Amino acid sequence: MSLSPEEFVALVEAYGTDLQRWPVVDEVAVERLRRHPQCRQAWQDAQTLDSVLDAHALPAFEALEARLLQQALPGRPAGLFERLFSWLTPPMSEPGLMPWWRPLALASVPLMLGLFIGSQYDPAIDYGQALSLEEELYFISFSDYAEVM
Amino acid sequence: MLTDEQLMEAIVDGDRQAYAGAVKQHGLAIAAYAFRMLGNESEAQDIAQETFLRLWTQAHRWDGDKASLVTWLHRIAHNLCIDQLRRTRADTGSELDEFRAEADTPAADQLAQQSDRNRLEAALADLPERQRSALVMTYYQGLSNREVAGILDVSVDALESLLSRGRRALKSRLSKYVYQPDSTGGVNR
Repeated sequence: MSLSPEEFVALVEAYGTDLQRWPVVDEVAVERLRRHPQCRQAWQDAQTLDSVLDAHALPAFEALEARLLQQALPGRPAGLFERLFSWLTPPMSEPGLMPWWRPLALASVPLMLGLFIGSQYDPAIDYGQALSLEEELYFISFSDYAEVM
Repeated sequence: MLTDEQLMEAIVDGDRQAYAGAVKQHGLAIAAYAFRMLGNESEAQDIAQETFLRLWTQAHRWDGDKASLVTWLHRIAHNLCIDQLRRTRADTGSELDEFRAEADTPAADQLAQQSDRNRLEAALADLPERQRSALVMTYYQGLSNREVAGILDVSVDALESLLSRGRRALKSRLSKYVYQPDSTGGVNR
């Protein structure tokens, strides 16, 4: 990239004399243009302003980090599973039996499930040998005759 | 060291260690920016605190394809500083106008009585907000011209114009003290 004196002055006036702040740098062109009569004054003025800006000191901000780290951060909204889990496991600091009913309710779920399955299934019956509905009706019809006899 | 993406993913997941990492990495820079915008240490700390609170609460909104973390934090801090400046102006504007109207000492003389540091801070504070933001972010915060242009929602050309006008205005305000040789023959700063 070849800089014209006008472009050089525009860059110096915008970014100052530290080339690290320049968006594009052609160091050879910069060296050449710094001595160009049209650019010399702009460079010197910018250098003076830069030295004033560089001298600007900041406060120590000694307590800043601790303040930022200690500030109260809101909790994240929990997912469905987390919300269910925290509902089921309330803090045990609550008095009485109140905190226990939710885990007990959770523990009773398999029990209830077992009772339900058990009520649907009788292990004494050999379901492979079980009669179909038609066969049942067929034998019942005989039992009706047996009662008459 | 974590990348911006890893850090922000962890913060979104509620990792407070990651938050602490972000504070250690960027806390001072954000406070420095706010201080140079507002000229007040206490307000700068408030801005930094609010910026990091928003980092925590709005982390899911960060888009790494659009801006680096440091640029995003500067954008938040910049918006907060502008709000603060407008609030302060609304609160004290009428009082200041009255004070200035009644003051016997011209502003230039007041500037002469200040220390070098205060003089620069006063000159910076006198710049229009956008020129000040452009200058502070480009000169002190080490952000690229594209990043600063993005934060200010202007083109790079417009940013360069803001920078030139800002530096020219600073030079003009400080010229009496900075650009004239002092009695020892050196530059009076």
